[in-house]
Amino acid sequence: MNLDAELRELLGRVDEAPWPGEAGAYDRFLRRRRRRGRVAVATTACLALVAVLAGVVLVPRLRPSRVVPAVPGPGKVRVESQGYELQLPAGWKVERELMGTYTPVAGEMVPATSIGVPRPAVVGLVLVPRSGRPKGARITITTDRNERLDYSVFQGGSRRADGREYRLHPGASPGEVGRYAVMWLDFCSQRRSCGGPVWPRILWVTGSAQADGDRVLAVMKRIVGALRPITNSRRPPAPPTVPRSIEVLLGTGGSGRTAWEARIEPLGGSSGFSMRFPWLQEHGKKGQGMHWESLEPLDIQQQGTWTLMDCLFWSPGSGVLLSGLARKEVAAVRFELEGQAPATVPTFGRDKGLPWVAYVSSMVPKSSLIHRVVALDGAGREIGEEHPFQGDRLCGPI
Amino acid sequence: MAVDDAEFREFFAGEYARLCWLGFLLTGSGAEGEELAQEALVRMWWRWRLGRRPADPARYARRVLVNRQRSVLRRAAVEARSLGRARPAELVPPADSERAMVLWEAVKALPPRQRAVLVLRYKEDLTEAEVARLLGLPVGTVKSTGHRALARLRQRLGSPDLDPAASAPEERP
Repeated sequence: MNLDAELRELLGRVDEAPWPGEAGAYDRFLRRRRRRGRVAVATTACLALVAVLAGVVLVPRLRPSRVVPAVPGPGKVRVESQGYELQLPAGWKVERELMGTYTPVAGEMVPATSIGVPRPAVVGLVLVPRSGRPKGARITITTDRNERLDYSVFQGGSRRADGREYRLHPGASPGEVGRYAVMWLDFCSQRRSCGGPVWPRILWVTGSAQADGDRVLAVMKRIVGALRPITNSRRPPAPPTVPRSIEVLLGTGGSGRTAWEARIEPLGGSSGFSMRFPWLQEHGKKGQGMHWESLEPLDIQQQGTWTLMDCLFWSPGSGVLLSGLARKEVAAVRFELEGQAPATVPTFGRDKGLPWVAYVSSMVPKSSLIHRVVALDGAGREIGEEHPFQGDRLCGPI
Repeated sequence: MAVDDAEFREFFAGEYARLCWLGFLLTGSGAEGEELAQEALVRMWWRWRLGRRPADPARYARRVLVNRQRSVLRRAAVEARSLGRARPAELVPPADSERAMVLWEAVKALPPRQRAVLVLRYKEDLTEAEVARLLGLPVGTVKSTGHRALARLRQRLGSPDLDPAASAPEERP
């Protein structure tokens, strides 16, 4: 079965499937419908309330963290799957590691869902005092991550020095002295393998003791301050971008029917890269002659280039132009096509004050199969590669 | 109005799950999907009540939902915002094989616009021009976004044996 058929089958299946929670849906709908009638009246009151809440909630959060850093102890422990490293508090040791199932995908450990072969991984720790005192003292560090997470668990709490929120909750069972919830979002460095920029994740630091609960609580607090983000909990640097309203002509080329203009310009409130074809804009149907795509700064950052294609059906021979944006240090772009000699074009638009440069290929025969687009620096070294339209012949239907 | 309400309720019962699933497929989130469906149905109800019932209410509701999703797409911090409230358990479309589950994970991992194009093309069976109108994009953008999405799926699935769509080239910029 090919990918088209697989997609149709998968997406089509939901038509007959029940929706979880459908039972109370009409009641929720009625409540929402009634709310609509009250929205106008409520708006003014809401704005006032928001202002008050901002004062009440935000101001305390801006205060410096009150967490005392952990005293450096004899050893460190790393829990890579959950993105933290801990310098053990003095006098405490790891009694045991909690194991879970994780799946390595593209260098990332993702929760076992369905991709790849799941493997056991350390997902939590149980710490105990070396001396055995306080009696029955134990601190566990576990993780809660699923889409049901309720972020109200942080409301009214504090922030660590790095801004991560935390809050102490009372113990939930006899002997439990309390539980700290620590916001520990998962930023995958390979964003695509995660399905989004962040995954919700909370670290729970839970303490229990038969006596001297306050001492255990103090150690828990030090742990909360001492957890150090590693691997997937470190926020990747944001790729450079431009204001949404920016409009810049990067360059022009071609002639007659194949003349083009490469721009960065907004559409529908987003900024994007566009290729305009003046001949078609003048002679074609309304709306023809402009190909716009929203910017993908992260793709450009990761791959070095970000390539679009245009099928020039109005031109004799109706070839294809490949164009796009590249990181600013990219001096030239090489197109490698099946059965054809590699073609290299220089980038342009370096003088426009943007974080990127642009490139446009010479005419490529349609139905070509592109192997890769290679970003080259000024010395001709490969500094990035992209596999656009992988598996599809250029200008074939989707 | 009572008759209208009964009629609308029947429509609601028949379409609710489908709309939620469509919203879910577009956003990858059960909560977002249900939110979109509820919002589309409220708008639908007002139209119904004002005596402007569309000829094809189901299609109209889907269109409202997609338009709503389009405005959501414009917001930069969709994920950050959605993290700020409780969400229902992670959903997966009904799938009876590991392959289907893997495919779903790959679809879910696509950027929102790419996922929207695939869902509208492969689930709603819309033409490229219809998808373009609905998403407010040039046809060429829809085409290349779709290609990019399929390429990304193939890359994720690691399945070079999948047949690329090799039919006649379509002539659009």
